Amino acid sequence: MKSITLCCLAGMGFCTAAYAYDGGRTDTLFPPAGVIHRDTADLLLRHTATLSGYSVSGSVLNQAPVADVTNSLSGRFPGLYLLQSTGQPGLDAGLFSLRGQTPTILLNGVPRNYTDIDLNDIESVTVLKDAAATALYGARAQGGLLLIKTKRGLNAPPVVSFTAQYGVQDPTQLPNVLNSYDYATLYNEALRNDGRAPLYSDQELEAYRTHSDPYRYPDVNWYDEVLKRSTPIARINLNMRGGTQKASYFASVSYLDQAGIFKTDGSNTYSTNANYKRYNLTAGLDIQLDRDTEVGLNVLGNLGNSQEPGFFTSSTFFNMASTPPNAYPIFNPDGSLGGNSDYRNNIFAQLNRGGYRTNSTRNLAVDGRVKRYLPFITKGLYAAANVSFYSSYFETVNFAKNFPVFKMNIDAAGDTTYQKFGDVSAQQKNPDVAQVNRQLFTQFMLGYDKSLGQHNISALLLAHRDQNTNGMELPAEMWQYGARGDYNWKEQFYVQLNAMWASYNYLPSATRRVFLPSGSVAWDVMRSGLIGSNNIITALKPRLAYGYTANANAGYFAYNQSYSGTAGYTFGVSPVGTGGVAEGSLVNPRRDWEIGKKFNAGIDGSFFNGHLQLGADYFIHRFVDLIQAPGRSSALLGNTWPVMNLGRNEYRGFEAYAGYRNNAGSLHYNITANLYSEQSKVLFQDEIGRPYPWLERTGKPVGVPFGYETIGYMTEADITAKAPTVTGYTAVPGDLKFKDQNGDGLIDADDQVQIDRLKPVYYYGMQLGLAWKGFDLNAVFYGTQNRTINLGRSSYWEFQGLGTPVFGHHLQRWTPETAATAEYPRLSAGPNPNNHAPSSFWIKNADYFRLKNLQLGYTFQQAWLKSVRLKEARVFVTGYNLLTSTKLKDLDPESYSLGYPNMRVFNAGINIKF
Amino acid sequence: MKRNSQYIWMGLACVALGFSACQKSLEDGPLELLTEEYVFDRTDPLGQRANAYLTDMYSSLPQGFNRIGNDVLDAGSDDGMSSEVNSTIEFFKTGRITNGFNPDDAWARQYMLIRKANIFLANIDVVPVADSLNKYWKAEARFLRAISYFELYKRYGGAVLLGDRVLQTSDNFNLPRNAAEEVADYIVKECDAIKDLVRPQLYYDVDLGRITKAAVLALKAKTLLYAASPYMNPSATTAQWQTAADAAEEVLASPYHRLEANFGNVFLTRNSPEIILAYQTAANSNVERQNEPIGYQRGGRGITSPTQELVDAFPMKSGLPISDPASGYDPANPYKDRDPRFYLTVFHNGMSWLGRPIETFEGGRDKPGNGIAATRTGYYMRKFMTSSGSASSYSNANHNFPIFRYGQTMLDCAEALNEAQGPVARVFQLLTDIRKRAGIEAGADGKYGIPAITDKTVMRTFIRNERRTEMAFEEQRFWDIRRWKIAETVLSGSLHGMKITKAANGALTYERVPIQTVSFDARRMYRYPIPLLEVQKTPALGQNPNW
Repeated sequence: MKSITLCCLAGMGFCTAAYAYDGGRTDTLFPPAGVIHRDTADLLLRHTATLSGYSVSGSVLNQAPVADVTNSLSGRFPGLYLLQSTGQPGLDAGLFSLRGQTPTILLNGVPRNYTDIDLNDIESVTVLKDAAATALYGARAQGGLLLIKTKRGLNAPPVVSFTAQYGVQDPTQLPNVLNSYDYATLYNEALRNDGRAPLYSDQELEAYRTHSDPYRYPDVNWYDEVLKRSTPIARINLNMRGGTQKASYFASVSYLDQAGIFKTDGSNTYSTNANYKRYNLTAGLDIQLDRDTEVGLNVLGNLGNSQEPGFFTSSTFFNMASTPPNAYPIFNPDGSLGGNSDYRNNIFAQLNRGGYRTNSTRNLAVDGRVKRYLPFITKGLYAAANVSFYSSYFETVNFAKNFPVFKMNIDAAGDTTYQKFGDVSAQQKNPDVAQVNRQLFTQFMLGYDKSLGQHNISALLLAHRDQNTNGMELPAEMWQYGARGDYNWKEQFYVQLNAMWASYNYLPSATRRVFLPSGSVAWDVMRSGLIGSNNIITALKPRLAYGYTANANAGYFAYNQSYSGTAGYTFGVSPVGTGGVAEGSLVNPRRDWEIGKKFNAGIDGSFFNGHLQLGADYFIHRFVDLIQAPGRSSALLGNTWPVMNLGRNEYRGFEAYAGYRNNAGSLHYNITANLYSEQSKVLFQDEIGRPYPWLERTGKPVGVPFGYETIGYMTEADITAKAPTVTGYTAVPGDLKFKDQNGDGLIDADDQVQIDRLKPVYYYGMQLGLAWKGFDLNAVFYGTQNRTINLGRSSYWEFQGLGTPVFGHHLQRWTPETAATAEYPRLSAGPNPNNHAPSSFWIKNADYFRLKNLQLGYTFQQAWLKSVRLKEARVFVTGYNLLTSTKLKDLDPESYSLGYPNMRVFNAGINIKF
Repeated sequence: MKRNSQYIWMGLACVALGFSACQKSLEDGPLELLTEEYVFDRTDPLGQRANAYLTDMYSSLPQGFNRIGNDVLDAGSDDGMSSEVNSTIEFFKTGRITNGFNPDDAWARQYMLIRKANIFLANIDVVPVADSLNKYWKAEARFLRAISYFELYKRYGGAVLLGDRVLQTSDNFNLPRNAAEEVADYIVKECDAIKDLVRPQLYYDVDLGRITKAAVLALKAKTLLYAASPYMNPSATTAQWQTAADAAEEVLASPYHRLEANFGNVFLTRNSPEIILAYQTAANSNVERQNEPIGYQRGGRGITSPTQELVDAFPMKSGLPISDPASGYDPANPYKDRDPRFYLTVFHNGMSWLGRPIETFEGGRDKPGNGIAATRTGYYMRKFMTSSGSASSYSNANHNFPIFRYGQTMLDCAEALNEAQGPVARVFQLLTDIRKRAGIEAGADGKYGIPAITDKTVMRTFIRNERRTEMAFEEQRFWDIRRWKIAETVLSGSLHGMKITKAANGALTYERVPIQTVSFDARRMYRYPIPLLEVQKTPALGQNPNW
């Protein structure tokens, strides 16, 4: 391995954006080092001396065997939390949170929410956090920016790379559903607790226990009946990359096939299992037209076709989580579908007799760019223009049909009759265009880079227009324009100033424009010579940034007061529906921008000749003029009160990372860790008159839930002493006991306190890399500390609705015998106004530590390959969500709402380059 | 050449910039939005959109049927209960209504209608419609405003009277409530003011559903009846009752309304002469879908379980109460020969429906047990339903919820008159007419089972029972037990159902069993609480006692 350039982006965090470049062949010498395009590196370097951001190369992210780009980001970036709440094929994208907000995705420099990209096509992903770093997109950067860059050409001989991988997915966690005997026993117990007669006789209980009559006393574990143990995922990618000084190219085609987890009986000529198939095409072309002119073209497109059962994947899971095991047998003795008046949607039949639905997505992004140096005016001056077009289209076609179910009745004489519910219907064929979006993004820049001795100057004038059109709506048009100036003195002192304006046509003309200044400074301590050259400190750079960002929470021209059509009324002897018209919600004609004021202080350091990298950031983000309803919004007005720019929130937190890498003989190793924590606080909310201070939202974390403070279970003594309960509720032992905050002997709205986020949450990630001869091993761990989730939801409670199934955690209920160790209140047959009220009891610790990704690979030696004309061959196995440690029982800490479960993936693949 | 290319590039760049800068979207803002000028159009002699605005207001008239969760309001009274345990309607009988949660809260809803009416009244004069139409419309808007206040009045007692004001966000909202009497007074005054401004009758079929003079008078009579009732007015004078009776008589004198010949048709006929005002809907099958016994293929949800107390309130076909030894009531065959209204109000075991007898015995098709949601009392609600349609599919029928109907006002009148004058002949006549229409046998004495009552208190009890049976599930009983201040009595202890056991030989045994434990906090529940948030936002509203 020769002529390897390790390019550590100063200020960009640990050395992740490193590229090794060897005569056209690219290498990953140092996992997680990957390949980053020189242009990207240069661009970032020039402007990033002072910014707070973090970048990871695509080849590193590609270690994760996931379908969606978002899920490869977990644990990689300090400050970025990623939650994957479902594993449903095609819909399994993770939810971002960057410093507590949702970042805007910039795909190749254009704000567009498009992440259906194959991981092989990604050059790098960069997160930008402070106001100066995000200044050029400041009116979109309230939550920071997530930059995704796709690959482009290289000045190198062509390399064709082929990757094929195949994996097996299985659910990380399925609900622990109890059987019919337990269900019936606990239901009787719940009824007794409620002072009602038990429903199931001893005879019936015995029948459930012995399974003696599975038709009249069924015991169906739907998760076993409906879900497979595992299901495959396959990915194939073929790409070509190369070029010359004059022209370079990258072209790639990919195919993804992610199968769903449903078990189907094969009775249809079509599949009713969920699945997702994606075809991607990515191309990048750069041409040097002449000495001063560069043009480029990027094309990204994909087709995404997914399919699901006619009754929807989501509702199949919902029904599984809300159908008790004894509700009905799948089939009756005569082979007909089981069901009854309450359960007309036999889950098996929903999956196998209910037809299917197809969803299809088409995305196309085309970016053209031209950059022209203007040396005939002055050296260092250039002009550049970009035009991007993006179109997305989503449609769904419904091929669903209905089926009847039958309830078996055996009368006193012993004759069997069947009662029919529902009817067969013809299969539907309803197309429905659900969403059509198009975007036109144009940008013009005039830049100037100059070094005058010790003074290095870089200036940029920029304007862009982002026009988005959703369906029939008028285009949303955002303009951002202004200037950025960078200056450094001898690469010791860095200053950046930004003056940006933004304008958004959905806001009223009076408030449409906003000025967003920002600036940052940095000091390179080692270059300044303050500390002499030594073996310990290699580099040290403190930096500061402050500035404004903004968010146009504008609705659809929501400042216009209007009247709108209503359903009206039906007059007449022969009923004629007559449409009505009514005053719309009242509006604020001076609706304004929401503003972010962001302070960031950070330091990056490199020690022991770069073997150790350390860095930390501290931030204070204040969001002001937040849209909210005024506090004194009396109903006497007779209409919805207009929202106003009133709220003020603050987010404070820190991020830190540390990385160490070294060699031990032929073993290369590296380890990186990051840590993040943030706390939010409501600085101002237009409170309604709160009679007690603990009811106030001001000063509490943003959006924190309120409820009763649980102080144990009710005992006989409490009931004798008339301990307060929720209004109108008569407590029995084992009920939750709440603290009467105001001591008035009642538990009511005045006793609700902040019940969650009482401790700061810490998020941490860890990456481990080993390389030895041809072998490499990479792992990403991710974990949280003090994370809580609110399980006060009907899917977690017992016997909700028609009777949700009972789960393992219900066995830990309070009973007189288990009073001391109970982890759940006494059972109730249905909603319980006391126990199921929002309370701190349901806030559960959901900390987890998870082996997110693991990759083990072997790259074959070159000499052996030449005989078969291969440049490189590699085999690898990867895994996703392999190990999880959590205090949460029977629930996945990320996906806990009993929908489509998160998947664990075991995956193997080969990569050949020629 | 080189220089040329530079100019070309610069030119292209400028074009690109110019192109991107000068292109303007077609509209500066959405032009499809309707504004006040469009709605109250100075140029439209037909006032089409103003009419649509008024039409929308009608949709805020009080509705009935399964409107609380999926339950009927009277499932919160002693007449019925929800088949689903712990549904929110139960809160009215278990004391779980709080100032933070009330499933029938109407505070904000009624003020929305009041605002709509006031905007209409403030703007309608610019629309150049014919004077006669302008007069009708304004009176209709005032009626809708008045009935909004009545809805507030019966729930909360006092309310803030806004008059013609359309409040602006900059106004002072910390306004005290007017006393209940003032609200009642306002409603009555408004009714008096508009009774001759609305249509005296419906001239055209297409106007069915519009406010007529009879509806205005009915609202006035209803308000006066409530105002005289013990709940609003513990010390009502005979004169007040007489006023209420007189107001009801004024409704009954309407030449356009009378009793429908057949009791069942009252609820299935759009233009029945009995209906004074109904919430009009297109033909539908919602009542059937929600309340029909559960064992039919077409899938009724059987959500309302009438109580044994209601069933027992129905007399025999002879008009005699079941407690009367002479009535012929047979506890072993309890549904035989009852008041014909009973069969139109309640589904009982063995009653024929869609080609088979209803099975509400334990384990029967309509009460299968094993946790399937089904009747808790052995009965389902039958009222308002059409028997048409097949066992497998519904057919739509007219289901207009009666807000005011002639029979209702007759009973209002009988009640007020009895309170004012005692059981005078007119009281007997009203009751006789009701019973005659119900299909009760006249009997040898031609008295339809009405005993010769001379005592006002006995007559009061009789009238109250007659109201209960005649208007079950019409959202009368729920308010009547409050109005009469008897909720604490009738909602105490248990409500009952009938447990019917079928032996192997087909023999049925009937057992009255307690089903639901109920309570009513007389200290506070006669009036609804003002929503907590509203009191916190504007403390001057004040709260009703003990909430």
